[in-house]
Amino acid sequence: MDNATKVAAIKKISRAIDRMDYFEILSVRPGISSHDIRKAFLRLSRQYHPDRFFSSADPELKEAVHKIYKRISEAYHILSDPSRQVLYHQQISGPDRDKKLRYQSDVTASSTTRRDDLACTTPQGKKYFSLGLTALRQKNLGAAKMNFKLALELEPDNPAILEQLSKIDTVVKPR
Amino acid sequence: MAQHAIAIGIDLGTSNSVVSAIVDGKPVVIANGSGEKIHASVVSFTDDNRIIVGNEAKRRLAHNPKRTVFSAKRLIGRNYYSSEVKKARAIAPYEITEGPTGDVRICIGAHDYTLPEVSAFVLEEMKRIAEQHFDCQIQNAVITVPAYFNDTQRQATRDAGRIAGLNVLRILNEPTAAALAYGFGRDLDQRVAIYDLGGGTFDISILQLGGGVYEVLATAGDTFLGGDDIDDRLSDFIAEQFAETHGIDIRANRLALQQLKAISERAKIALSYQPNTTIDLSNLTDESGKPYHFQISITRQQLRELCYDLIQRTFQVCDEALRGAKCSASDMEGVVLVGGSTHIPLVQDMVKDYFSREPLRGINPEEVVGIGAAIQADALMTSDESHESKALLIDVTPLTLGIETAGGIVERLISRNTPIPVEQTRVFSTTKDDQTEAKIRIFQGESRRIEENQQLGELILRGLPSAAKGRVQIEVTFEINTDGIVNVSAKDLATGNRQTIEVHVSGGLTSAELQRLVAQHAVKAAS
Repeated sequence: MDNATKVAAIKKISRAIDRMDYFEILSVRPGISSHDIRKAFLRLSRQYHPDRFFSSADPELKEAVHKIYKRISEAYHILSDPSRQVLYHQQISGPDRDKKLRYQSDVTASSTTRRDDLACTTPQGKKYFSLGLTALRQKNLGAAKMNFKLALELEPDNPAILEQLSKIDTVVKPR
Repeated sequence: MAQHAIAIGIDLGTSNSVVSAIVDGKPVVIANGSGEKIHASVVSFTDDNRIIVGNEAKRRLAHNPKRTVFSAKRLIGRNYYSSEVKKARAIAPYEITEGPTGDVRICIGAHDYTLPEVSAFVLEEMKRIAEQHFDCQIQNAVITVPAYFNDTQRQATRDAGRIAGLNVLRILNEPTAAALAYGFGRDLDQRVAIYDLGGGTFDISILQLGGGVYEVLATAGDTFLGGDDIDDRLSDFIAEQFAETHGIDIRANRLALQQLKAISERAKIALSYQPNTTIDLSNLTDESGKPYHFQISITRQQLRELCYDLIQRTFQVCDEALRGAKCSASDMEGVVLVGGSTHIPLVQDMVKDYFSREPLRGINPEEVVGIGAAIQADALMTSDESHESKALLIDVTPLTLGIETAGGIVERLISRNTPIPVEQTRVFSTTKDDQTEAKIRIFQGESRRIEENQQLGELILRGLPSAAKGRVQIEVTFEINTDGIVNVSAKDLATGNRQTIEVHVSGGLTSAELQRLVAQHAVKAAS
């Protein structure tokens, strides 16, 4: 690929990146191992790391690689953790996919419901708990139950988690 | 002098600094006019207001302790009320005062100096040494910092570079720089640990090297642990022995204390090369000017006993880094020693035991960081879209970034050891009707409780549109850039407009003050 084509391709990706999910950004399939995720991350780092373009005279190109690379780091950080990868895949497989392409932005919904945030003390527990609440709001009981169970594993005997789980059980049982 | 695109690498150390550059594809450590390659990070202000920097300034320490500043790096970017500053105030012979943002100032006569200014004097000297060597003006530089430096300390170091008239290409982590120097010109594929014990700080970084990429897997550190602490132990030991003989505590006299520190440092260095050394304090005199007679012999074994627990502390930090990298000490295929304190045989022995592997020698541990900085400076200067650049570094953020939520709890935004650059966004809603202003406090650290973390600053969102509570939603983006420095921007989700944001940095320079200092030093440099 000659230089001008390469530059044009990079600028195109930076414009499209807000519509891409993490799997698309890293060009990998769901279920990929941590080892292969890392390989993909290193390959993309060689291509898009901002340092590769440090002395470029094209400010638009520099801005484009910054945008792309920050999203690559974010995608790598989320997908390289197997449990987060599973959660993320569920998140983008449901309704409103376009609004959930960035892992944290979904959890953000709970920034406004701070009391829920404080129910858990570990960061992972908090995340699962919050995902559970979101699933519950979407009436996705299976996903809610799984997330609360994950949260409970991290924080056994947490009354807030137990309460949510018992709520789900009473809804599910009569069937 | 001709303008030239040479870029230098500066290792701005607690005790010593080094300046390096790539010449004809090879790294060189640049010597000053006297042939010295390692320069004390000491700034001495003469009574007629001349500024002396480097080894000559260090020699003035014993005679002019109130006007000679050393170990300034221990104070840069710190809050005046932090325990580190308290400790420094107790031992420093120069006067430390509080600045307007809770930062630290050093008072020399009638003049207060900010820490970035003091560091700028050292950086200016490094710049001057390089300019003399190459006979051209030099502006571009990579400056190294301990990997465990937080945002405020990094910003302050960057400010120091600007005040010194440098275009700071990158704030680079010291252990990462050392890894670059270690791998330079060799096609390595291995996992390495960089053990960096300097004059004032300790860092450990775990890296995976391969295919020209230097990937930091994890880093950890202690920004208040180094060779200075070993000198303090030795000084205390000698002072106690002295008190037993003469019945007085020589540490009470600032002049004597400085002499004692210098003697302790020399004894420590001597014990790295010989099994015992003699301490002679016969230069010290009592009030009547009569010299005290005091001579003792110290063995390497005694030094070991005095500082064993300090060195032991570094391995708790190593444990933390290895956990972060999800590997064990025995997975390392190379262990690189960095920093002057790794000359100490006890340090070498304990590192060898911990990693079950002989640490690598070969590159001078005092020069390796400066060399790595030069390699990175050169790589950045020569990389644009038409070149395949040389080495590629992927570094991580050393500390978790978070914001305050209700109840004094930190909500984590970007966890430590995440590759940088990276960003996270959060949406904030108003909690009151017609709320026009919102404050967000930002922290770095690993605790869930805010008071156990370092506050970086406060964001203030002003001029929010008037609406019912919860209706105004502001998306705030927190970015950690390639320098490891935090940037924040905000957007009103309804209008898509950029929201004005004010950031009040804790313990740093205000932008007005920085501009004033940059201009002031530029005038001085031109005259």
